This record gives sequence, C-alpha cells and structure tokens, in this order.
Amino acid sequence: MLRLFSLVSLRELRLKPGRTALMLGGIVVGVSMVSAIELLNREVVEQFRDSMENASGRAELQLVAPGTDSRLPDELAYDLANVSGVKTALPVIDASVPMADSASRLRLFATDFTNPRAEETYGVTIVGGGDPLEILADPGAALLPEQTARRLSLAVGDTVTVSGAIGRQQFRVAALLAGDGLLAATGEDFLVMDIMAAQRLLALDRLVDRVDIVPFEDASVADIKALLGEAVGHKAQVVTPYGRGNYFANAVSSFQVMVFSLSLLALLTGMFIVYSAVSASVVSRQRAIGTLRAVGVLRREIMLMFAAESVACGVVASTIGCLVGALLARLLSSQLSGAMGVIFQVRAEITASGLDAGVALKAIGLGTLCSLVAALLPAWKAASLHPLEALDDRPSGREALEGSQSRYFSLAAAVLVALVVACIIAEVKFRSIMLGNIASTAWFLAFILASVPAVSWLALRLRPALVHTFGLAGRMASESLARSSRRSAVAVAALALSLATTITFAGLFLSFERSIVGYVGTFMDGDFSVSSRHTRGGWLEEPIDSAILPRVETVPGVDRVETLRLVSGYQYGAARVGLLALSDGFFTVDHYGPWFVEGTASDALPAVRKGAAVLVSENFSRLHGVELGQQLLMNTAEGELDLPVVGIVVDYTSDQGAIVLASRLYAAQWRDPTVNRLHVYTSSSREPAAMRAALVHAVSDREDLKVLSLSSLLEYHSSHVRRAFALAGSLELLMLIVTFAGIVDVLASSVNDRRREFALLSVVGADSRLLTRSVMAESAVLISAGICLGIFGGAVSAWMWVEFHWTWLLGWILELHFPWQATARAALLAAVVATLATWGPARTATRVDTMEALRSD
Amino acid sequence: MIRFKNVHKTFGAGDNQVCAAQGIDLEIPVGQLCGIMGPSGSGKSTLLHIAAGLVDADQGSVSIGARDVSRMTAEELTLMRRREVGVVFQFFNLLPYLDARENVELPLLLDAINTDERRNRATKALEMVGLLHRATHRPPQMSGGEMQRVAIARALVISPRLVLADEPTGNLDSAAGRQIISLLRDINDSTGVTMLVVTHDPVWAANCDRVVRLVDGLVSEDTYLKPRDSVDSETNGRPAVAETGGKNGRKAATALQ
Repeated sequence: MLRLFSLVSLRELRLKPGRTALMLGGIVVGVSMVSAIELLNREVVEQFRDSMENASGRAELQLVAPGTDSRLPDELAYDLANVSGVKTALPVIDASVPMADSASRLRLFATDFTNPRAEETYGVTIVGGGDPLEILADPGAALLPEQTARRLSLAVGDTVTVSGAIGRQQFRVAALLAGDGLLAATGEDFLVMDIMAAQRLLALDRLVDRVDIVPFEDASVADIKALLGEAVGHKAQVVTPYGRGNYFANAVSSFQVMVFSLSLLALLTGMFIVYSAVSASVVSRQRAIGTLRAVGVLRREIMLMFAAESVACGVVASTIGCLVGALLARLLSSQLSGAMGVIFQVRAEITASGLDAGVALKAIGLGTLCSLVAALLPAWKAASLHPLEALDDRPSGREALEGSQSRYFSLAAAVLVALVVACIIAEVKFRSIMLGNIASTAWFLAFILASVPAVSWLALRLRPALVHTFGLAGRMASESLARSSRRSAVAVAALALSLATTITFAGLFLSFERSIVGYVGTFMDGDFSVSSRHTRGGWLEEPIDSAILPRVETVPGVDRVETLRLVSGYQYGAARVGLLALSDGFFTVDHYGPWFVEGTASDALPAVRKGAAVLVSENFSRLHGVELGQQLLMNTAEGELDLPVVGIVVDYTSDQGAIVLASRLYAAQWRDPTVNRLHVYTSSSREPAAMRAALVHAVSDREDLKVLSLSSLLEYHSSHVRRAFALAGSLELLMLIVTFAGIVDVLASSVNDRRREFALLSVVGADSRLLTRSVMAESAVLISAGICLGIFGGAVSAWMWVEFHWTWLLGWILELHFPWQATARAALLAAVVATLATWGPARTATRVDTMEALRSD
Repeated sequence: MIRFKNVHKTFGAGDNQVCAAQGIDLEIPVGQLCGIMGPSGSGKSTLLHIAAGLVDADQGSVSIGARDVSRMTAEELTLMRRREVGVVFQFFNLLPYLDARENVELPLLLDAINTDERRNRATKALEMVGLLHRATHRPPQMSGGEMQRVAIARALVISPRLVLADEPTGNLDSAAGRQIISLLRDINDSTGVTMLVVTHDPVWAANCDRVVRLVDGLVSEDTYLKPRDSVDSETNGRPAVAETGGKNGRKAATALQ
C-alpha cells in the first residue's frame, strides 16, 4: 500500500500544488488556532499559579480579603504571628505600577523588611552582599532584579520613576537582586521596597494586599489553616498560594472553554476545506482511479491510498500548524490578556513561552484525525467509482442530486435542527456549556447539509432568470449547477460558514458593547467621572481613597457626586461575584426603576438605601438560584450579613452576577473606604470644558486620577469591549482566507470538470467571453446562495450565543443587537473575496486548450 | 479457453432499453487471437467488458479456463485483472505522472513483487513492445502509438492468460494502428497468450486467427482465418466452419478456410 501511495499519491500531490496547498492550508489554519489557544490557555493557568507561587516565596498559606481587589489591615500580620505553629506572618503589597513616561509597568512587591525572616522567606539576595533591612530603611530606596535593571538600562544609584496614588515618585535603585533569588527567578520586572514606602506610594492607609504565613517545619499546615481561620473569622480567607493561582485559573476557565470552542470551529472549517479539496481531487483523478481499478487495484486499496494521503497531509499540515500556532500564540497573547482583563477584571500578562511537546502531539493527533475524517467520504466515493464510469470522460451527472437524495439532505438538516432545539432546552435546564457547544456545532452542520438541497433548488428556480440574463452562458451555468450540486454546495457552505461565523462574532460583540455601553450611559451617568488612571487589567479602575470626594463636591458648578465601588472578586459560596456599592443618588426610582426585572423599585430602593436590603443582578439570580424575597447571606469583615433580596435588576458589572448594595453599608461592613469612581453631576450654567478644567484642577495633585466627560467614559468602555473582541477579528480574518481558498478550489474543479464541455463549445464557435460569463454566472449564484444562507445561519447562531450559550458559558445576560452594519460589510467583503476567487478559474476556462481537452489523455 | 454461454446484457430501461447481448455463445481456445467486429452498438465492447469482469452479465455465464467469471465477487474479479487478465483500452489509460516503466510496473507493485523482479519483468515487457529506450519518458512526451505500446506492455507484464483489447487502434493514425496490430500479432505468435480484440478496423481481419462479427447483440458471423489446429489442439476433430445459426435467428457463419 505504501508503494501505491508513494508511486501515485505523492506524485498527484506534487502535480497539483495548489490543491495540495489547500489541503495542507485547511488543516494548518485549524491546527494553528487550536494549538495557539491550547498553548495560551495552558499559559494562563501556569502563569496564574507561578505568579502566585513565586511571589509567595516560602509562604505556605496566605490571608486574602474576601474580594480580589479588597485589602486587609496590616495589623493582621502582627496579630497572627502568635498563632501556634506560625513561624512568621508577613504583610505584602503585590501590585502593578506604571513607570512614568513609559508604557512599561513594574510589579511592585513590598513587605516588612524589619522582620528578620523576610529576607529568607522571599530569597532576597543582594548582588555583592548587603542587608535589605539597612538598604530599604530609606523610604526612597528600592531594589530591582538584575535582569530588569539590564533591560531598563539602570544601574545602582540611578532613579526609577513610577506613578502612584500620590503622583510621580522617584526611587533610587539602592541595590540589585541576584538572579537566583526566589523573586528574581520568576523573570518578572519587580520593584521591591519596604511596605511603608509602598503604602505611601499607593495611598494605602495601613492596608496590604495579603499576609503571607510561613509555618514551622514540623507544624501541620492543615492545623494552622484551621487555627488561622478561627482567628480571622470573616475578615479574611485563608488560602494556599497554589490554590489562589488555581482560583484565578478556574475563574477564567469558562472563557478558556469559549475560545477553545471557537478554535475548534476553525478546525471544523479546516476539515471542511480538506473535504472539499479531497472531493475535488477525486473528481480530477477519476480517470486515474479508473485506470488503477482496471489494472487490478481493489476498492479497499483505493480507499487506503486516499486515507494514507490524507494522513500524510494531516501529519505534515499539523506539524506546520503547530509551528504556526506557536507564532500565533505570541501574536494573540496580548489580545487574550486584554479580553480576560475586560471580562474578568484580572490582570493576566500572558506570554506564550513556546511550543510544548504535549500540546504539539495533541494538536498533530487531532489535525491528522480531522484530515482523515474529512477525507473518508470522498475516499469512499473514489473507491466506489466503477472502473468504466471512472474511465469515461463524458460528464456523467454523478454529482447531480436526485429528488430522494435531496430529501435525505433536507431530512438530515431537519434532524440536526431538532437536535439544536433539544440541546438548547437541555442547556438551559442543566446549565450545561457542553450542550451549548453541541447545539452550536449541530447548527453549523445543519446549514452545511441544507446547502446541498438549497443549491439544487436554486439551480432549478433560477434557470429562467439565468437564461434571461446571460443567455446561453446562463443556461450553461444552470446546467453546471444542477449537474454538480453537491460540489457547488461545498462552495456555498464554505462561504456561508465563514459569513455565519463572522456574524456570530459581530452579533456577540455588538450585543456586548451596546448592552454595557447602554447600561453605563443611562444608569452610571453623570456629566463627568473621576477615577484612577490605572486598572488591574480590565475596564475597572483601581480603587481610590474616598477622601477625594469632598474636594470634588466643593468645586463650583458641581451639583452632586455619586460614588461607585465594585469589588470584582467577591467570594459568594464557591463563585466569584461582583459586589457593587452605590451611593444614595443612584437608588432613585427615576434612575434605577427602568433596570428592574423583578420587584417594585419604589418599595425596594428605600430599603436598599437604608442598608436593610440588597438587589441582585439577573445573571446572579439565574446562576446562583437566588430569587426575589430570599435572604442572602454574605461574609463581611464585620461578620455574616443576612439581608433580603428586594429586586432583581439588569447589571453588567460581573460575569458571575452582582450583589448591589448601599455604599454606606459596604464601607461599614467591609471596612473599605475606597471607591472606584466618582460620578459628577454639574449645573448646566458652566461650560463643559471649563467644568472639566475646574475638576482637573481640584485633583491636580493626584497624578493617578483622570477626569472624563460622559462621552469619553462611554468611549472608554467601548474601547475596552473592542479589546475584548480583538481576538474575534483575528479569527474573522482567518475565516476569510479559508473561504477564499475554498471557493477558488471548488470553482477550479468545476472548470476542470468542464474542460471538455468548454472545448466543444469552443469548437462550435463559442468565444472566451461566453465561457467567462458562464463561470461568472455560476459563481454569482453560488455567492448569492452562500451569502443568504450565511446571513440566516449567522443570525440564528448569534441569537443562540447571546440568548443562551453566553449566559451559561460566561454568565452575562445581554440584549440581542443584530449587527446589520457588520453583516452588510462582511457580506460585501465575502462577495468581493468570492468574486476575486472566481476570476482565476474563469480565466482558466477561457484558456482551455481545445485539442488538449478533447483528447482523453 | 474463454467461453461465453448464453450471455445476455441489457442497458437502460423502458424506451431507452438497449440490448447489448442477446444470448451470445462463444468459445475462444487458448492461444487464439480473436477479433470481435461489428457496427456501433452491436455489443462488442460489452462482451469484452463482461470478460474482464468490468460489467456483469444479466444472464448466462463466462468462464476463463476452469473459472466461472460470472460467479466471482467484485474483489476476485479485480484480482483476476491484476494477475491473469491484461486489459488494453482505446484511450491508453496511463497515469500521466508515471514514466513508461512505472506505468508498466503498476500491476506488479500491487502484489508487492520485489523491486528487482519488477524491474526485470517491466524491462522485458517494454522490450517486447520495442519501447525500452523510452522507459523513462512520461505519457505526455510520447506519441499515441507509443502510449498504446506502453499500455500493451502493462497488460503483458503480469504474464496473463488472456489479453482483452478494446479498440486498441481506434485512437491512432493508420500507420501507428498497423504497428500495434502487428505487435499484438507478434506477441500472440511468440507467447501464445489468448487475445480478444474488439475493433472496427478491417485491417485486423487479416491478422486475426478468427473474426467474430456481432450485430444487435448476436453473433452474426464467426470466421476462422487460420487453421484451427495450428492454434489449439482442443478444437481438433471439430468442423472448420463454425455453424452458429439456429437459436434467436442467428445467421450461419461463412467459412473462409
């Protein structure tokens, strides 16, 4: 069999470089997407864990605040040092700070270096020797890892300027950290300083991000964890560094599932291209197949030959795909980081580290299997060809659909649609992401199958119009479509699949953007907003001290100022939800009433304002099964808080849902005086520009603050949503490339199949324009059918994703906004791409060598 | 010996029905070069395709030697073409990307015959058709006559019991056609392989041992051009003039000898 493969298949592959490239290309695109996403997903998990573990030094336990961006009082560290089994407890600030006049950020790490065990816990080793305690006693001193200093071209004695809550601040590089120390070994750009200097820089009044606990060697970590839990009560959570990394990794796992599903869609498209290419190859090679059968090659040997061919192509393409995937992972890493930041409010600086053997093997296996599966049907068709039929050059109408076959395809599509409906019902009932993915895949398969009877139907119905418009060329086109309806359907499906994917992405994007921006614009309104310039990776600004509030309120022209505090990682049961604390002005019937889904705003809002009740978001209610009137038990720094849910509202602040409560209640119960944003309402008498200038002036000593007008705030949110979906843009581009290739291939094989027909027409005097018109008319029908089917398929797919999958996959409940503009743009682009793809085969049609085509060999 | 016994074959249905064979009885002894002639649609090619196992007979049987072709499975028929029956087509059917030697080696390759033996047998077959000097040329670099000679070499390389040729000169000019006729005649003389050749070409008549004429799916004439005993001892004692009339109104053949 290998001999037949090497003698026949390899030569065929070499002889048809375009088709071979397409077969390889289909799998390369799919595998590269899958391996890139797999690499990035792994990297996300690894980097969350490494980041948490490495910066924890030898600490085996950590105390963190209930919310991911909440902080703890530093005194906890001193209180806990006396707990039995605890060797040392160290307060830590672990934050990200921007370098002034630079886009770079440094990871600020600070601890109490007066604690003699700090140096040993974090492996702080000074280059050339030295005591960190002495060096960092100067509040203007900091340490940098050797490699960071090299990268930033800094030496001992130089200064590094960073922006903090109190404005720009310069730190002297007092010494360098040796590369073999725990912190430096992470490879991150740390800026190490004493805890007090960091608190001052970030304006954190005796607050820290966490407390690291180092137990005695002979102590039981589990026992200490239990003791610490008792000691801190509800004020903090006791976690392991590994578990904390896992916690973040788990939080983004649904997003990882989503991007992986999207990458599988790319692989599905790749499979489709392989199917198309192998089908076209079978058509163009039918004479060779007939010859082989005539000289004694068995059906199974033909089948095995094609299978071996597809496996060989699969292995080669998957290997290339893996390499491209590694490259793609590098290119997509910033987009993925951005997307995760916007959706989950976590900073994930993902950098693809390179190809991993496990990922490579998995991707090569998957790609090869897909290539084989895609080739099985065409291979079976090739093996089933009767030798005499295969040796007959005349158009045989083998591709034509009979009524019964057309019905089978329609029936199969209908069965798949029924499966989609069943899966969606089950998805809602069982909250199953997997069922949603099955529904989505089944829907795409359904309209791929539906494209076959659709082309058949169109060829019949459009025949009069084609003949009327294009004359003889139209008739030839309609005959060709009817004769090769299955092959034409492949082109239609490729186009439709690509367009539907684009519309799905665009629909999701628009629904996400409009829902969030609409919410921000009408609910979180005001004329200006004042907030930190910095975020933790997403759209949510870093918390700022609410002490700034009186300064803004007293600016002339300011009517009132409302505050917003969002704790994005509040632990509710096993989930990570949003805790949204709003000042009283937000809780008015006029303002909040329209956002109520359940409950009566006029009754509910006074109770919430008083701190006697809470609201929950629609997705919180759905995901956690909390209903109106139910009591909600929350852990706070002051102990458990049990309040009734008096309203279910629309809210887009967290993917896992949000609890909405009064600012005063939050500040008191969680002991957190910070806010994320001030919404400033001004009197209409002052010019907006002058008003903004006055606000900027009022906070001019705070370099970390920004003042935005409402329109700028909306643009800020829109830009973040666009960042979240930048990944989709890359996928769209890949899809278009694949579509282009697929249509070229299908039309090229159609032309190849009709060489004899063109030659005969040429003999009886048909000119090249007639032949070109015929091919163009055929492609016009294919393109129109593909676009119509794609728009329909995409619209339904977008509806399914927004209404069902997105909720169970990522937690958001969005309003559906159909992307008319994007659809028109994509349809136009697809039409242009497909028309360009037609041009090549149309030219080939006119260049058919008449005598050559009329000869059989 | 190849024997057709009451072979019937109909294509199509209803008004489009075409009877390609309406009860053909024919025996071709070992070593005979038998030409099948007749007008278009008379069933010549169908008869040959049935013998090659490419088309199933609706009724009747075909046997090659002791084996009943009509009872063989599709796989057995394919293996028969690979090992026992060489088929030559009007349109050559060579693989364009293989050179002459590789095309000839193709059936041997399928049986995993070792490279040396394959090479030797292909060389001998190419030598036999006088194309050894073109062994490394590919079909597009050859003339029609040369391509047909390669196809004949491919049929011969398996040392077949039977060679079936479907209008082997139909796609060639007269000079090339004469060369192919002469070649097949020589091969038949030198190897003694049985040959069944479908042709329109009257030149064949003079070169065949026997010419069977079909009309409307029936044998209308069966003419021996060469003494039967010089071809096959199996026919000794039987009349030199084959009387094939009788059933279905078949005409009596004319004996030329």
